[in-house]
Amino acid sequence: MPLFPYNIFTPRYKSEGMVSASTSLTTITSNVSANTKGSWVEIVSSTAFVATGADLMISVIDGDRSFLFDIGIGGSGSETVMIPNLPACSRNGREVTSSVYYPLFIPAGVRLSARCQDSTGGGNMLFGLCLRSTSMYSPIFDKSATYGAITSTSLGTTVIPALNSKGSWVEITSSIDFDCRYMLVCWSADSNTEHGDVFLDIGVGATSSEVVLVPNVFNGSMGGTLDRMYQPHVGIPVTIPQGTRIACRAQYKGNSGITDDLEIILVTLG
Amino acid sequence: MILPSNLTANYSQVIGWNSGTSLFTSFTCGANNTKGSWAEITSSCPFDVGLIAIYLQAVLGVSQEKYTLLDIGIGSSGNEVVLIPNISYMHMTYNSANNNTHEDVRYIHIPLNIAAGQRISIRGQTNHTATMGKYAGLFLYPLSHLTTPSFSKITDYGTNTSTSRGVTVDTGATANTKSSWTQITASTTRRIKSMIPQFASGQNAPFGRSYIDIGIGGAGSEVVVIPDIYIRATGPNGSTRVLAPNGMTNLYPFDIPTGTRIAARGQNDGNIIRYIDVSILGLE
Repeated sequence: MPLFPYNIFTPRYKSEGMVSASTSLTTITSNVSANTKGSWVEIVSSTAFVATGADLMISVIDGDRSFLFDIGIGGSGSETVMIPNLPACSRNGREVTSSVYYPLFIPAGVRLSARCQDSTGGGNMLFGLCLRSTSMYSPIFDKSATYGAITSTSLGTTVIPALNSKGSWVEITSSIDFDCRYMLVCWSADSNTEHGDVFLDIGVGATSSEVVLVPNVFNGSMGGTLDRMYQPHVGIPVTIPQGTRIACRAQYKGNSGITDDLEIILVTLG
Repeated sequence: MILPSNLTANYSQVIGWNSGTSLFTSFTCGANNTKGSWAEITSSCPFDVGLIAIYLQAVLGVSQEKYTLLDIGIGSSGNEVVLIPNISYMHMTYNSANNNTHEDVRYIHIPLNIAAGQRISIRGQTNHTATMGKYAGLFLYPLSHLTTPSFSKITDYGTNTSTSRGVTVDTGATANTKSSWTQITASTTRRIKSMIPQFASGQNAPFGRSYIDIGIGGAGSEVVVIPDIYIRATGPNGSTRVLAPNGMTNLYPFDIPTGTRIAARGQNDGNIIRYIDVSILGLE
């Protein structure tokens, strides 16, 4: 018998929150009041293995509203927020879906759940995740923080881009809580029409002394009235020490429509 | 954790971008389903790269469904060698007359080694030769940034350069039920350490939800290795304008020996999303 050189079944991927009977994901509903978190909804009762990360599957089924959602860990009634205020949004009745790799340690045997809020109240979104036993990155991250989310509007921090030149810096946070090795740049959208290509600089440093750390993170939204960002969550390896101030500025390409503002949320992992 | 004192020194760079126009490097496709000429993104890679993100930017001028395959190459002009073959990139389908001007972007992470000083270029092919502006740039990360497994060779499976598409997987006539397996490749030609599944619509005007499983093993003995990748196609209420399931998913570390058969199957929610084109980039 030949020596089989690789253990091809070692990596594990397990999807949770899938609703196979309807080929859908778990429905999460906001509180009926605007900008207020709804109840926790269980995604998995007990994770099957130690996960080094997960692909978050996010789908918004109620249009013309912005969402912020939390992922929680713990038993029913005792949930603790593990990842706060990730954004999602949809416009004009279209279901907008994204899949984002989130390299965060998740123990085996824990219950995961999710809850959300939206800018109108009572909105529905769909959520699931694919747990991964093998990470794209090392070390494995065990801390996550969110900056720029505004829970009173269910939006991010507004950054106004300029036409073919960078706009002014806007502070996202005055100080990050821990050393950051990986960042998710998250784009939400308000009720205004926003379409065209945008280029976002992420800078560090004091006010008026910002230095570009990550240049020209590229994104765009569909033309016409389809105003949602193509890639609402973009993962970027970075190295930013604890205590650093982070700001953003942006520009847009002018011949494809208008882009009046961006709603930015940054998620740090370390 | 020891962090560098100079955060911006030799850190990450975007190449192939024109700040004055907010456009990346323009490139053209050849005649239908034929690779076009190489377009230089940079004449010299600024440092040893371990991770790249591919920025794709397109301006669609007509209402047409488009399947596109892109190559990233290295080497001097006239001596380019394909480094990443047949990146699948599908544009939206338009069935309505409005909003013909369309922007489309993609951001794709691939942990790949590129040596400092290398010239990097891009070329593409599409199933239509239309007035579509196509632009590409690269976001480069240094080799030492994270202890990310970084790869040096990429092989594509399931892509069909005569159609610029992948293998069409029929996710089944019965809603919410897993379909039969469709072979993506009978036998991998090289060891795969990670894979990137790529998806495009296999039909016009898709609308609905589907799951795709990636499996390995002989016909009738497939084992699911990546379960239930969620794909959604959608359109605005009361309109025939739709989005296609599009582009790459994330990278999945997975050690698969040479000679392995790879297949895919799916299920759908009974709406118009039965056929999904699937191809795979294998990294080693």
